[in-house]
Amino acid sequence: MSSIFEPEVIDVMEHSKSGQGNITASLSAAEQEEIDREFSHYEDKGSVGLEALRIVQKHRGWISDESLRAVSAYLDIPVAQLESVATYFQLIFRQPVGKEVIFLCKSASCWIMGCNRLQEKIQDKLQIKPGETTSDGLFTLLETPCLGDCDKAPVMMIGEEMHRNLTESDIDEIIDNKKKGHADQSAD
Amino acid sequence: MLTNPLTKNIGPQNHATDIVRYQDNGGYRGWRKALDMAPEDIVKLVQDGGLRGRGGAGFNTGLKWSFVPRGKNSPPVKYLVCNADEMEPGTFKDRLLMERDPHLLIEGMAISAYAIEARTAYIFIRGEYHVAAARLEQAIAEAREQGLLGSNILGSDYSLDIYLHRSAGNYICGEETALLNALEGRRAVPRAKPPFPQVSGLWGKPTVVNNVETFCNIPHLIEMGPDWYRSLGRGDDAGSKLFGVSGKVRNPGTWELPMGTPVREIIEHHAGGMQDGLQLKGFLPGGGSTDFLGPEHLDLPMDYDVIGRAGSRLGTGTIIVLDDHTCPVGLVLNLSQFFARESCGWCTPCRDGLPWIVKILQRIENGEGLPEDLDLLREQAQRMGPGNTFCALAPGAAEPLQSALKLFEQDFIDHIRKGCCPYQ
Amino acid sequence: MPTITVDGEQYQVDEDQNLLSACLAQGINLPYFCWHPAMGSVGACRQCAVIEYKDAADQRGRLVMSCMTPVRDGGIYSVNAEDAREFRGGIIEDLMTNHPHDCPVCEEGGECHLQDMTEMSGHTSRRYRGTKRTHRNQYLGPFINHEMNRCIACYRCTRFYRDYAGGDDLQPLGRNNQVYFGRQQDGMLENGFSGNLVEVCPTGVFTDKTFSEHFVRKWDLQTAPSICEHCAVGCNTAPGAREAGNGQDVILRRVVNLYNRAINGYFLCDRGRFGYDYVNSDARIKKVLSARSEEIIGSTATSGDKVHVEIPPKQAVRQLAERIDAVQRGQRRLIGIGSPRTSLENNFALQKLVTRENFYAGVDRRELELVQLLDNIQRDDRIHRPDTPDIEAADAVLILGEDIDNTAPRIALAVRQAARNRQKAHAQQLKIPLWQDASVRQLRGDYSPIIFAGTELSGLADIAGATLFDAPEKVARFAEAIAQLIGGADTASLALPTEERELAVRVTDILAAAEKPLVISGCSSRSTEILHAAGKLATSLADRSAAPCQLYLVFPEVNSLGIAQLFERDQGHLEELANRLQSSRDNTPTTLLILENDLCRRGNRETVETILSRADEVILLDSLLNETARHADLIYPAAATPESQGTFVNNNGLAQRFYAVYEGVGYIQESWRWLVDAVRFSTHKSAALSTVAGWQHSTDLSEALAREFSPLAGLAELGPDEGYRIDGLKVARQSHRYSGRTAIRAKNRVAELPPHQDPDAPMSFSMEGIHNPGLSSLQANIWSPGWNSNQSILKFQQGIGGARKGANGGIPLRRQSQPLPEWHFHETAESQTVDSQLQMLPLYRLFGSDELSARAAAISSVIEPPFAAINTLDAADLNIQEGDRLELESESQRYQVEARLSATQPAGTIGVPSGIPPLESLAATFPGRASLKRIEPDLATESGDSQ
Ligand SMILES: Cc1cc2nc3c(=O)[nH]c(=O)nc-3n(C[C@H](O)[C@H](O)[C@H](O)COP(=O)(O)O)c2cc1C
Ligand code: SF4
Ligand code: FES
Repeated sequence: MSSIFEPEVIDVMEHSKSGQGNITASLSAAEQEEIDREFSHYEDKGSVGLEALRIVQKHRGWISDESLRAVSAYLDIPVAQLESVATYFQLIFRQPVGKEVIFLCKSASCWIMGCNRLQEKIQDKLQIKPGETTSDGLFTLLETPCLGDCDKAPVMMIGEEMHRNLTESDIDEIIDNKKKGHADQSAD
Repeated sequence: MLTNPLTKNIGPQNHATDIVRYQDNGGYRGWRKALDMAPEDIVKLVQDGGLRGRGGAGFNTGLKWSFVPRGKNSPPVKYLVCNADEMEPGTFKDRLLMERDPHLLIEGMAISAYAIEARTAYIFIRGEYHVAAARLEQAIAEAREQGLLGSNILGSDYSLDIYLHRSAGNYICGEETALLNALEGRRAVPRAKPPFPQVSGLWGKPTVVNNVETFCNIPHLIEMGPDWYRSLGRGDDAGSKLFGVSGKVRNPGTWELPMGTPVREIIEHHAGGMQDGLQLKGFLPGGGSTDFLGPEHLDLPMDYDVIGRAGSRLGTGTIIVLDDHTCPVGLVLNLSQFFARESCGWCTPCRDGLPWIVKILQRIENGEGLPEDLDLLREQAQRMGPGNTFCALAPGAAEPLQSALKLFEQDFIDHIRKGCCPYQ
Repeated sequence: MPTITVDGEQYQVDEDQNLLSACLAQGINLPYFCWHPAMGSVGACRQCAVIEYKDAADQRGRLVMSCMTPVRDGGIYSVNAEDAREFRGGIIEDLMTNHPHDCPVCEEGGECHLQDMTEMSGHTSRRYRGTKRTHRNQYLGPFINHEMNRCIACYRCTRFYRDYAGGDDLQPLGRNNQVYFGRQQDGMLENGFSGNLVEVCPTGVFTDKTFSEHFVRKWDLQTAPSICEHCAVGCNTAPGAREAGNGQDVILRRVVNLYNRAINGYFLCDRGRFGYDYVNSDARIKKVLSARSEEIIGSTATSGDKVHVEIPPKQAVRQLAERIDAVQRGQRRLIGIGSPRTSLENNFALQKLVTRENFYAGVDRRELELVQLLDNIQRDDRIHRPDTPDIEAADAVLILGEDIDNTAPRIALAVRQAARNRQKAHAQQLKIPLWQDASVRQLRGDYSPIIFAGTELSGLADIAGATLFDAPEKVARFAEAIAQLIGGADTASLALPTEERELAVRVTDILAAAEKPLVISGCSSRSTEILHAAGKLATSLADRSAAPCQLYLVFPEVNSLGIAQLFERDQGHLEELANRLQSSRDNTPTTLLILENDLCRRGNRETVETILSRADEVILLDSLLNETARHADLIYPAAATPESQGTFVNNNGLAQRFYAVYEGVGYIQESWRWLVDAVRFSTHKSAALSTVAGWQHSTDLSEALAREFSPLAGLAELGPDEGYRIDGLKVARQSHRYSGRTAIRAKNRVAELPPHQDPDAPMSFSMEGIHNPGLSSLQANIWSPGWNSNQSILKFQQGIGGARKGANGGIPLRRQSQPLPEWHFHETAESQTVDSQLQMLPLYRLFGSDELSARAAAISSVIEPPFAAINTLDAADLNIQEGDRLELESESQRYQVEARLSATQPAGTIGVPSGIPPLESLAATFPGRASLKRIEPDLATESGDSQ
C-alpha cells in the first residue's frame, strides 16, 4: 500500500484479503544468494529484512503476501514485523505494478517547471491516475518526491532511467517508444 | 591554488569515475597522509578547518566527531555512516558528487572512519539513485582491490569495510536517527536525543552520520590543511560548497563556489538571472524546508549564520527561485503535501497537523478559503516549531509556510477575496 | 531529593523521574497519552507540554515535553502558562481532525482517557472542516474488537504488545497519518496478554469483545475487589456486574485489572481477564437439583448418569440436615471432599461439618505431596519469596520445569521485564534515564540470562538464553548438579553428559555472579525431584551469599497452598479416601459431600470410580454442571468467586480476600452458607456444630480459621469486617452515577426495592456510601474527578507506580520456619520405551488447562483440539507425521488426538495438554505411561461412527 499515493480510504489491509491462505512460497536460489550476501554486512540478521524485500521485489516486481511470508520464513522475522517495515517504505510495492513504473517527480522545482501538465498528459495518454496500472499491465504511474535533478526539471524516472527537461511531446515519444519496445519483445 | 576541491574532477573533460584516473589526479593522497596521522589529530584538524556539516544543520564536523568516546574503555565497535538520502525538494548536489566523483566520497569516508576509529562504514543511499549506487559500488570494489579499503590498509593495522545500503524511499530516512533505524531494518522513525548517535547509534554503538558533501570536503582538507581550507571561504564560513539554483532562471544548475558567495551572484551570474519577462518574487535559500527570503535579501552572502539571521537557513545551499508568475500559495501547498506525505507518523503536530494544513491550503488555492484560515495556518506553523515536535521534519515543513504567510500575505488574501487563484 | 517549582509552588520530587510523572505524583493534572507508568516515555503525542524556565529571571521560557524532561533540582516550570495550555489544546484539536465523534456509540465512552484529556486541555471547539480518514478494521479473535478510526496513534498498543509483552503479530503499519495498528492479516491476536490493549489504549480502538456481548457503561457497573481464580498468582481484579433490565438476571459483564503493585501491577493475562464469563455459562447451576430415582433406559445419558430435576431449596437443606442428624446418631458417615479452587472459608465449613478425619483435600496423592513439598520449601528461612517488582529486578533467572507462561502467566510477564536488566544497566552507564523507553531499548544488547530447563517453553522462548528440554528426572538431575556446584562440588564429580555438564557449569557461574538471582519452579511437572533440586539449589545459593535466595514457586490452583494448611502431611488425598472406602468393613451408609470439585479432573479414573461407587449418596456443591455432577444425587448451586467473599492464598503465601461483586442469582449462595443452613436445620447438634450454626458472616469463618490454624492467624486481620464504617458509611459498590435504579424494575413494581444487604463486608450493593478509592482498598471502581479512565489509579498511588494508598489487602501466612530436610537424589531408571509405552508429560495451555476459565464462551472457542506432542525423531520411529490422527491409550482409556511433531519434546515422552477436553481425566495420571497408535484414515471414520 505504501507505494501508492494516498487515497482517502486507507487500504493498508486490502491486500490481505487476496491472500488469506498461508502457503509459503519459497525464495529462489538467486534471491537467497543475494540475501545471504547481505548478511555479512550487518550486525544482526533482523536488519536484512528491508534489503531482502528489495531484492525479492527486484526479481518479482512486487511483494505479494506469499513473497512476504517467504522472506519472513527465510529470515525468521515475524511476518507482521516485516509487514510493518514493508508498508513503511514507499518503494516496496505491496500491490502489483506494471512492467514500467513511471515515477513522476511532483516536488517543488518540478512543480514550478510544470510537472502538473506532464501528469495530465500521462493520465490522458494512459488513462490511469497516480497509483493505477494500465489495463494491459504495462504502466504504473506513481508520484514521487524530489528526484534530485531539479536543475533539469521537470523530470521523471521510468524504471531506473531518468528523463529530464521534459515537455509534453517528450512524454508522447517516451511512452510510445516503451510501448513499441514491449510490443517488439512479445512479437519475438 | 586549488579553489574547487569538490569538483576538480568533475567537468566535461575531466571525469574521474574510475580509480586510475582518480589517482592520477591526486586522489587518495589525503587518505595516505591520514593513515600516518593520529586519529585524534585528524579530528582536531577538521575542527580547526571549520568545516560545517553540509547536510543542512551546519554543525561543526570535527566537533561532532570529538563526541565519539575513544580510548581503551570505549566501546570497541563504532560506525560511520554516510547520509546519501538526498530527498529534500530542490536539492541536487550529493547526486552529482556520487555520480561523477565517487572515489572522493570513498576517500573522505575512509579518513573520517579512521578518525573516529570505526571499522565499518555504510553509505545510506536513496533507492532512486541507481547510477550513483552503481558507481559507488564499483568504486568500493576498486578501492578494495587497491588495498585502500579492507584489512590492513596500505600495510597499516587499520581495517575498514564500506557497504552500500540502498534505501526504499521516504524523506525522513535522511534524518540521521531515522536513518539509523532504517539501516537496522526497522521503520525509519526518528529516535529521541539524547542519547546522540555519537554515543548510542547504529545497533546501540557509537556512530557518526555525515552528509555526502561533508565527506567530500575531507580529503583535501587533510591534504592541504585547515588554513588553506578556511581561506577558501569568502565570508565567515570556511571552505567551498556546491550551490544550486532551480526554478525559472535562464541557466539552472550546480556550481562549486566559495562559502559566503552572495545570493545575487549565484542567481544572476551563475544561473543567468530570471527567464525573460519574469521577476524574482522570493527564494528558498537551502531547499524546501527553509524559510522564503525576498528580493531584499539578494545581497546576503551564503553563510550559515548570515542566512540564519535573515530568518532562514542555509540548509543544503540549493536555491529554489520563485518567480512572479508562479503562485506562492500553490508552491507552499506543494511543499506541504510533500511534508505531510513524508511525515513518519510518530508525533501529533506533524502527523495530523500537516494534512490539515494541506487541506486548508487546498481550499485557499481553490478559492474556498476563509479569512480565519490564515490565523489557523499561522497557529499550525507555530505548533510545529523547533522543539515542539519529535524531530526536525515538521519545523522544516513550517518554515516555507510561516515565511510565505509573512512575505506573500497579500497573495493569500487575494485568493480568499477573489475566490480563486489569481495566477491561473 | 530535588526541589522543583511548578506554577509558583515548590515540590520535592524523586530524582530519577521525568517531569510528567513528577507532576502527576504531586497531584497536578497534566494531560498525556503516549506515556504509561509501566512503559515510560517516548515523546510521541506531544500532549504533555509545559514551559520550562532557565531561571527566575526568564519570563518567556520554552516549551518542553514534560515526559521527555528529566527533573532538575531548582527547575522552574509552568503547567498553566497560556502558551503551554494553548499548545496542549492544539494537540487535541490536531488529534480530533481524524477522531470520529462517536462517543455515544463507543464502548470506551465514560472511561475514555481521550475524553478526559480533551476536557483537561480545555479545548472545546473544532475548526477542522475536512473529511476524516477512514480505516478498515480487522478481526482480531474472540477477545478484542478493533475500531481503527478512533486511533490517535499514541503507539501505546504496540509498545505494550510488542515491547512489553513480547507479541509479534501486532505492529504499526503504513506511515504518516495513515499509520495503522494491526496484524498482517485478520486473525486472533496470539499473545496471551492481548486483553491489556483494552486498558492500555487511551481510546476505543481496542475494546473487550466479551464485554460487548453485554455492554454497559463503566458508571453503570457494580464492582468490588476480587482475586482472579484462574491460577495461583493472585492477581487483583475488579469484576463488574449489572442487572439486565426486563427483569433479567444480573450478569457479570467484565473483568478489569485492579492495580496491586506487588502482584499484577497494571496488567492481567487473558485467562484472567476473559475467564470470568464461565459464571454466565449455560451450564451454570442456579437451582437446587435432585436426581430422579427412576433408572433411565436408552437415553442419551451414559449408564450410571443421573438425570436431575429442580427441587425447592428448603427440601434440599432438610435432606442434608437429616443426614447430619443421622451422623450424630451414628447411622451415617459424612465424608467431605474439599477443593483447591474455592475459598478457605468454604473448605473450612465443610471440614467442620464432617470433622477433620472425614475431610479430604480433593486432589490426588502426588499433587498433595507436591503442594506440601512447596509449602515446606517456602518455610525455610533462606528462601525469599519474590513479589513481582522483585522478579522484574532479577538479573539472572533459572526456571526449572515450569512453563510459567501458561501456569503463572503474570509472572512470565515479569520475567520478560527482568530480561532487560542488562540493557538497563548499560543505559545507566550511558546516563540514559530508564524512563526514556525507546532510547533504552535502542541499545539492544543481550538479554539478562534467562535459563530454562523443562518440558516445554512457550511464551518466553524468545528471551531464554539457554534451554534444556528434557524429561523431569533429567531436569532434576541437571538442577541437582547445579546445586552441588554452587555448594562447591567438583565439576568432575558430576555424572552428566558433557553438554549438560557444560551448561550446568555455565549456569552455576551465572547464578553465582548474579546480584539478584531468581529461581522459579513449581508443581506442573509433577516431579518431586525437581522440587527437591530447586529447593537445594536455592538454599545453596543462599548459603553461598549468606542472604536469602529468591525462589518463586508455582502452585497448581488458586487456593492449593491455602487448603494445604488444613491438612496434615500426606493426609487427605483422594487415593487415601478410595483405599479407606474400599477396605472399610463398616456398613454405615456413606454420604459424600463434594465441594466445588470436579473429581474427574483431580483424581485418576480408578480412584474416582471407587470413591463414587462406594458412596451411597453423592452431594455436590458447585457452580457449573460438570462430569461429577452427572453422578450426584443432590446438587446445590454454589456462588462463584465474584459472587462471594472469601480468602485465597497465592503462590507467595499471601492470603488475600475477595469480595462479592454482586449477589448470585436464583438460589445461588456460598457453599458454606448451604452447609450452615443445613446445620441449623439439624436437630442433634454437637458443640462444634452449634458453633457452625452460629456463623453469620464470612468473616466469622475467617476468624475461626485464624484461631484454629496458626499459619492462617493473619486471616483475622484481613480487611475490615462487616461492621466497619467510614464517616458512618459503607463503601459503595455502585458508582455515584449508576443509572436507572428507579426504573429498572419499574415494570414489575414501581416502588424501589431496598438493596441487598451484604452480611459479609462493609460494602453496599447500591450507590450509597463512600466512593473514594483513596480512603478504602475496598473501592474497586477507580475514579477521581476528571479521571474517568483506568488512568485515575495514579491518584491513589504513593508515588507513580507505588503501592496503592490504603493498601491492597493481603497478609502472608504465618508458617513456622523450618529448614529443608536432607533430600537424597536418586537417579531414576532411564525411561525405556517398552511396548511403545511412552512417558506422558503434561503441557499447559493458557486457554483450556484451567477448569473454570475454559468454560467461558470466548475462551472455549479457542481451546486447542486434543493433541499429543512427540519428538520429531520418535515420530519418525513410530512412523507418525504432523497432523496424523492418533489413538492415545492410557490406563485402559483411549482418546483420539492429533499428532504434533516437536523438536523440543523430550525423546521417549509424549506431551499431553493438561485439562483440555476431553483429556481432563489424564491430568491426575501424569507422568504416567501411554501408548500411541496411528489411526489409519479408514479406521478413523469407523471409530468416529461408533462414538
Ligand atoms: C527530515 C530531515 C531530512 C534530512 N535529510 C537529509 C538528507 O537527505 N541528507 C543529509 O545529509 N542530511 C539530511 N538531514 C540532516 C541529517 O539529520 C543530519 O543532520 C546530517 O546528515 C548530518 O550530516 P552533516 O553534519 O554532515 O551535515 C535531514 C534532516 C531532517 C530533519
Ligand atoms: S516531526 Fe514527528 S511525525 Fe514528523 S517526521 Fe518527525 S517524528 Fe515523525
Ligand atoms: S506523554 Fe509526553 S509526549 Fe506523549
